[in-house]
Amino acid sequence: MKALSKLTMKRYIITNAILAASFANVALFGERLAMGEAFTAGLVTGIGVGWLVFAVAGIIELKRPGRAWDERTMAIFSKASGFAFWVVVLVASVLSALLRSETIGLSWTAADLCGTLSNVALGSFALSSLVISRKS
Amino acid sequence: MHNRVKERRLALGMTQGQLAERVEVSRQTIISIESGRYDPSLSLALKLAALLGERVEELFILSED
Repeated sequence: MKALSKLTMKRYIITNAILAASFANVALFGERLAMGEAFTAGLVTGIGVGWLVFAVAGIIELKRPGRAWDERTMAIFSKASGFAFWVVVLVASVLSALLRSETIGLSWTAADLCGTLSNVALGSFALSSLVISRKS
Repeated sequence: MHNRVKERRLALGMTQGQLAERVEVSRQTIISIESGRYDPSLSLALKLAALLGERVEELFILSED
């Protein structure tokens, strides 16, 4: 986020080029990794949406320097990142016990676990950002 | 910590948007500072003090409690 507050047109163009290359790579060659049709489609969509969000947020920031991403916004994201980290640690530690339990008998794959942890991280970050921005 | 940002801003006839524009932060940040929910960084406090014509320790006052 701090990078976005210091965004210049040069950095904006370079980052867009990197995101475009990533998007093209996954869109063109994603199927060769045989990750499953739905997962590949989700990955392509995710990178595409991320690229779009950066492109739109970046151009808004360039038009209005120092307004949208100021020190308060950075403080909110910093606190939310810390909160999300501890939520992931908690969930991972609980899951590590549950997945070992023969009584509970969860049969998750590594992909299921990674997907769940990613969703927990993103969800807790988004939720805590909203709550903290309301309170600060 | 409490502050006199709102009092000084109104005395100078500025809107929150104008003040935000001058110190290069969002209007929401000014709202949060004025309501005491957010304590600005030292550099922002100094910018505000300079713009509002006050010494920083007179603009931002550390509460006793």
